Amino acid sequence: MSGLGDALLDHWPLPAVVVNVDGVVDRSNPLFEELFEISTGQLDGRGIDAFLQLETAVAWSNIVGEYTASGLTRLDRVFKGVTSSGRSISVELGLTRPKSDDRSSILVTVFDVSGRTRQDSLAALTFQAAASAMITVDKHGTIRSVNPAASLLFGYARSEIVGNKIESLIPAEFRASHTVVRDQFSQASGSREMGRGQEIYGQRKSGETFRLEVALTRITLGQERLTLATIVDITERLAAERALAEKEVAEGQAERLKEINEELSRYAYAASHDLKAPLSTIAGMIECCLMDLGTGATDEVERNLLKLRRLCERSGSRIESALAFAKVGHRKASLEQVNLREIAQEMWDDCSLLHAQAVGFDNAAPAHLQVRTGPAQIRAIIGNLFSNAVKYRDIDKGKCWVSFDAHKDDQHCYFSVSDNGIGIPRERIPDAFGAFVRLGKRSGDGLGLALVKRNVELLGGKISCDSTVGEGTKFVVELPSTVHTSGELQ
Amino acid sequence: MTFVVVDDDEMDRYIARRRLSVFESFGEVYEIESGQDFIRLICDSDGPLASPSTPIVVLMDINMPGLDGFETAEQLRLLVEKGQVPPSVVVMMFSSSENPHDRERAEQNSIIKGYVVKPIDDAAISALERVIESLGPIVD
Repeated sequence: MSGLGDALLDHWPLPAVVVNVDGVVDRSNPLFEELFEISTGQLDGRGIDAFLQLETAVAWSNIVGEYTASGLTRLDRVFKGVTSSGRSISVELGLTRPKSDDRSSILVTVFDVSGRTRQDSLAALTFQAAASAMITVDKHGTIRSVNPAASLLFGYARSEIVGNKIESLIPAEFRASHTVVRDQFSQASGSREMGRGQEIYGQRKSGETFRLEVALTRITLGQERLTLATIVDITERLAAERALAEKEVAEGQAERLKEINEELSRYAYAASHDLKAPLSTIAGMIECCLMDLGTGATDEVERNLLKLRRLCERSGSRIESALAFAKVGHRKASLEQVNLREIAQEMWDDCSLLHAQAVGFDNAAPAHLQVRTGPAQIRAIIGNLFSNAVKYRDIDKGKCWVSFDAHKDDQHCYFSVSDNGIGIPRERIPDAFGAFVRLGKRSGDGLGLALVKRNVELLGGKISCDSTVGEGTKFVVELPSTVHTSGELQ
Repeated sequence: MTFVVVDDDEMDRYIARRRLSVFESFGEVYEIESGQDFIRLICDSDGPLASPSTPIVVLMDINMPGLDGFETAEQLRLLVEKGQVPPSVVVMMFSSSENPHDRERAEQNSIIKGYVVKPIDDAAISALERVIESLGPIVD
């Protein structure tokens, strides 16, 4: 007879049964009777095998001994239970002795884990059927299981790799370091992606290596903690990415080449116009002189010869500047600390000396502002912008002025040249920086702004223009604080 | 017959005038410095080019600041289309360039009747004469 109070057993919150050491049922509680579909007391006096299917070799006393030895009340061991209707259920058992002095009676609490084992078998099926390669590894790095996708990926039969170290699947040169990393992982917690941005390689049975990605997940199987590695062969993805990147590079180069070709053909077109024009004029003038010599109009001949001489001089210097423009792209900027205020002042002094015009100048750049950049390019940029500002001054305005300003932030240095000149029509601004583009009658060779733009680009900067006809023009140059020189048009 | 030379280069205008004036039948020669000035003058109902009794042949330089020769010719074509300028005004492009691209562009505008390469030589004069003949007399 059990020492456990009937009331306590009846109110035990889980299905339970009291048995003796031989496994003979003393009493069951209502929840137990419900689980096994029996009537009250139906199993009393019956052996434990009336509701538990024990493997023939395993005696109940051995199980009790196992529990006793472990010191635990519940072992992670699943038994097969059978209900009175013959339905099979998975159960775990909790074994306690209700009274320490009574070693004969054992309270067996029954945990129905049928749901869980269904999940486990679903997991097992998934593992087998998964398209991704999966490998479980124990804390010593020994492969415990592989799924068919993993066998296929690495080219080993399941039996050939289970029991081997996981390092047998990676190229020899990475094995030692992998062992260390694996140890660290098994001591840490949480799941993660393997490699952390490093390239990970696998090695097939054939010795062939390939790039892969691995996600690591900790799982507990029975009592054991394992690592589940899900492995993806990324060879094809990398090839696709590489092809895409190569395509982009090729397209970029084609685009750049197209730009260069367009620029060259624009240059050639403009050069054919501008450089050939004076020769046509000279030929035409000579024809006129010949006619005048025939009629004895020597005064006219002399006047025209003088004009011709000036034209030749002008053409010579135009060719010089066209060549200078073509050369800008091939020079490399040599960098120094540049004081923009000082350079602006110097360039303005040169410019006003040349033009001797009554144009006011305001140098608003801070005296201390320094930027590391190419001084030769800066001089060309500022000099041309000043010369333009003076050339396109608005004579109708009482006072013409040009102003220079500069400032700097973390990444960029900015300077601007503003004037109250005649301005550029808005629709002409995009063209204004083109070579041989002349916007008005006062334009020179049409190279000034093209030269400015080239120099700005050489310093890795950008130039923008804001202008209103009749009010004035402002050019803003943005330069990187640290210039990486590029030999543009290499 | 009236000639208009639209060219920003003073010497080129001078050369054209000298060559054209050799031929008495060619009549008056006007010199204009820019495309904008030409459009202004051709639209001016009180100007010297208003209601011409003879055809006007415009020698149009290509490379000019502001409106270039093609842009000016295109504006003229639109004016003729709208009836603001009589169709007896025609254009010959007038350039030092023998660039095929420029010749192609000249062919795309119906108002452009020819292409004269600077400086005007005897061949150019004959081409001019042919164009003028094709225009025929002005009716009305």
